[in-house]
Amino acid sequence: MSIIIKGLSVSTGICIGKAILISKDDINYAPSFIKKSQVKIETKRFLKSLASIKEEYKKSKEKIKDNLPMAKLMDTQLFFIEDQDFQAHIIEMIENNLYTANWAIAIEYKSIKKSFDDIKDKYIKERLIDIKQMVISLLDLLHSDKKEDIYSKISLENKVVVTDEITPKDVIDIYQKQGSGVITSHGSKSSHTAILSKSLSLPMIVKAESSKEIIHNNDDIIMDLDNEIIIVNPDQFELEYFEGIQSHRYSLQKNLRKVLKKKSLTDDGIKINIMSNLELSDEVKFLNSDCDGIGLYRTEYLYMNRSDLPSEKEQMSVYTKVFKAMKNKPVTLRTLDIGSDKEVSENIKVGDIAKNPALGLRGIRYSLAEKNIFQTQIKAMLRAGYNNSLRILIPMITSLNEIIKTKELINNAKLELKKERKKFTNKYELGIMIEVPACALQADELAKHVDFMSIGTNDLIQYTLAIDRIDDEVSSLYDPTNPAVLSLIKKVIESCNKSSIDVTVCGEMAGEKSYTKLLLGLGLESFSMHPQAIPEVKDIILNSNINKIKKKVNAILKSNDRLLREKLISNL
Amino acid sequence: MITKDLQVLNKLGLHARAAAKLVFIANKFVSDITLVKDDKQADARSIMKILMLSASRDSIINITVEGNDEIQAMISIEKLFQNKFDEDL
Repeated sequence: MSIIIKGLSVSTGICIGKAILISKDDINYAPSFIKKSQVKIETKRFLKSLASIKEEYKKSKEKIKDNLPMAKLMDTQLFFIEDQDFQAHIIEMIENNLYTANWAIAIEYKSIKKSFDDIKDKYIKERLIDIKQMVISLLDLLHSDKKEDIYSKISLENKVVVTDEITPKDVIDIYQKQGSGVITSHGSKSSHTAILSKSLSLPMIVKAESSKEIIHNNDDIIMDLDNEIIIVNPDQFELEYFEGIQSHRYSLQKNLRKVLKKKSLTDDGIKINIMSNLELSDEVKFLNSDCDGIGLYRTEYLYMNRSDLPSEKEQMSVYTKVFKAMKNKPVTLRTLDIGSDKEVSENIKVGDIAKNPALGLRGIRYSLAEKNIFQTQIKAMLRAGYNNSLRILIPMITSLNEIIKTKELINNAKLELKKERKKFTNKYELGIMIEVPACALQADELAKHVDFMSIGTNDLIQYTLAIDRIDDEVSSLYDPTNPAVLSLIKKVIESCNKSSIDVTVCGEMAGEKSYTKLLLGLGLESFSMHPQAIPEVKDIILNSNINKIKKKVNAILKSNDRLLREKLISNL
Repeated sequence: MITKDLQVLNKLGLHARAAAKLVFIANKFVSDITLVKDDKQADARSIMKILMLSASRDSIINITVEGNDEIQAMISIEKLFQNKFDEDL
């Protein structure tokens, strides 16, 4: 008999596949013993793996020695590896109990984990992750046959991954291994992980509580994203029904593709710019050539899945690839935006000390503190932009001062390129992300200093309403139509119009078809969204009459009742 | 043997980086250095054990130093605590 589990859908559609359970806590606690004569060899094996991890860390520390906060962080990691207590306990278990090094490490980790469970201080508690990473790398070294990554050694084709929690890196791994879908028992719809999987059209249902207990390996799974349910072991009737919907949707999508060929003019003849967001440079291949450019390329994924930093040359070749694929259309490259929930692998870690990373060293704040990383990126962008239509977008701007400092750094980068006699563009546009309310309120003034603005609705909503979109307890209060949010968006659009500069919405709202008319009504004429959303949003744009909509928008801005607002929005 | 109660004054408490600093100082000396908070005990050379003390801001830690250089060791540790682990500057 089939079982139904409820969850929250990240995108729409139907996904059918076989379940594969991935346990993040993949430390093997199965007992294993050695013979007394092997004690010395086993101890040596353990110490040798410790030594090689230490070597690895020292090497990566050497690579980033100019980045002081990072180097200091690596020091802390080294102290974990050198921990006398940890070593002594494991050697003791090998010698006295004849445990294998692997089992001894697993047991020691278990006891550490238990002690950490009692820790109340959230920040200290989180350091268990560092210890766990070290333990996993140790165990990996001890099983030389075992590879580093959970997702790299298994086939995921036609599989639905069921797991507790998922990182952006995992999403990329699953996508590259052609997994069908993802179900997580925790998480949130608007985390970057969710955005990433939406953009890659990887079906995902989050917060499907107890899914890990109910679903077994190889169970047949139907993910009905439209109704936010998961059907485990469906019967023949259910399976046929959903396969039917799947093929119906497929033909619908085919029809929508025809929409893409049409000019993006509203019913009353106003040209609307429809651009695409880009997460991974590889995605550009799948982009429909009919969009008006790239409105947001999130460069942070260049920095992920690796232990060193991408060089100027490497970045330049990636950006060049994107420009080439887009022909002469504008490409907006956003400078590195790390921090908050965007987990970047070992090469960069911010907010390590910060209790509240969303308010910490992220976006341009990080770039202004780590000038070398930023200048390398800017140089790569300016070089790739030669003879191309380059737009540089700066994330997390809060004040005019930051814009001025950023411009100084860009000028430095240009001077360096001149000295190095490299070809680069001088004809680029510089824009800022509007994510912080302070910035939206000053839009009139800031508009005089930049060439365009791009509204990042997710963060703008989060900062305006003081809602952490990852926190399950309050995520229901995350309300994109809150009058305060809408009036900030309206203000930014008006300020940009006054200064005759471009303004785009590139956050989730731009790709959410229920908000398309609302945004048009607020005066928006440029959208940037994940490519999969373009057909449906464009279809709505083509059938919108902006003059009519504008007359109805004021009532929405004035309404304090969320339900009423949503009703008014759907009637636009 | 010397023993003293020291208070954690920095905002974030005895977190990873602060603990790393303590381990770094402890490693400079030969004396045995033990930290006790409530019912938990930690060797000052074990960063994991120090973290497990879960010493947030304002908590009091009893420190015992025993060995040839115990006086200098205690002075250094006291200074580290007083300087809030060189944070909150």
